[in-house]
Amino acid sequence: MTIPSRYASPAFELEIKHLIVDSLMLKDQRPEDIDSTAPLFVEGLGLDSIDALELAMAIGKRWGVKFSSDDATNRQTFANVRSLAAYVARMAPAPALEGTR
Amino acid sequence: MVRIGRHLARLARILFTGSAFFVFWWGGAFLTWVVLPIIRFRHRRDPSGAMRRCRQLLNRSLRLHADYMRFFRLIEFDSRAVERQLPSGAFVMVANHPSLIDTVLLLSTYPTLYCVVKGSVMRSSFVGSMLRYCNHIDAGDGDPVSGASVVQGAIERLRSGDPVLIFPEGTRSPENGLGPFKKGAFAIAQAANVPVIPIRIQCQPRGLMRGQKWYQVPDGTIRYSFRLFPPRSPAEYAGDLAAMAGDVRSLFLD
Repeated sequence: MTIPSRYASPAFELEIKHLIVDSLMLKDQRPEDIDSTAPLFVEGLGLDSIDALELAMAIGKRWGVKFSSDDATNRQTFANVRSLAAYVARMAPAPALEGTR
Repeated sequence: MVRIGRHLARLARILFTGSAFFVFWWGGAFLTWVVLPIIRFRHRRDPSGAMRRCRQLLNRSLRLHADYMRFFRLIEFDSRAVERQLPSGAFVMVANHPSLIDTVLLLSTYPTLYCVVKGSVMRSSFVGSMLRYCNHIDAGDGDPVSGASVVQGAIERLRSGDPVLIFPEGTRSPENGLGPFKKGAFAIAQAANVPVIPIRIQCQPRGLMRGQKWYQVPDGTIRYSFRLFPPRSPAEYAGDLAAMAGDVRSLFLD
């Protein structure tokens, strides 16, 4: 599986971070301060299952990406910002990514 | 003489309890291994018919199991005495979870409920595929990702007009009192725009608690009763899930 490099770029990861902070209303979190490799759930950003769903919905709305119905796959996808950015870049229909950095 | 009688009664209760576990798992295995393939064959072109038939059979079996435990004086519970007036259509029923068989009693009283089944039970070769065919919800491994699919699964069932049962403690209640409530049940009700109906399960003496072995039986018949509270709408709390969870939780405290 190849990932188009321009979408899995740090800039795209930052875009994901902005979306996380905005859609989950994490008031005390600066997007720039999120570590791309830190776990999203529990010990890292401390997101819970409701956040996971909100985030999946926000990503679906913004980039038209659908998530798997398989939990094991989703667990890998939602491991951290990097894996999430790679998944979105891979799964988004091409026009949806137009205009992204 | 009295002491011997009490010991004998206790021994009998342990034996009957053991037999109830045996009947539950092997009865479940019979449904899963023998009855389910027949249903699947007879409804091979009609999956929703297969699901309806499975649910009907499971609910009848659970009622039979409740009767079995009642017959041997392990429990005392009259489902006919329970107030059955529930609103039609979708709602989230939230309950405390004092004992192992709460779901058996709730499902035999309210057969339209969908419930969230522990991942290990959902994958057990004894009853797993029967429960999946009944379209109950897989709780998964308890991590946030499987939590998200529980939320999604519950919302789907509510949107198709069916009620869902959730224990907001996420596990059985502790021996003394009530565990903290998670927000999930209330977030689900809010997302699907349906009311929450609290139902309080009381049982005395306590038995079949979390962490107890099956042979640790109480000193007498466990008497169960249900108490239904009026529906609460998430709109009353203007999106404040923590406030809603706290308010509903207070109904379960004395």
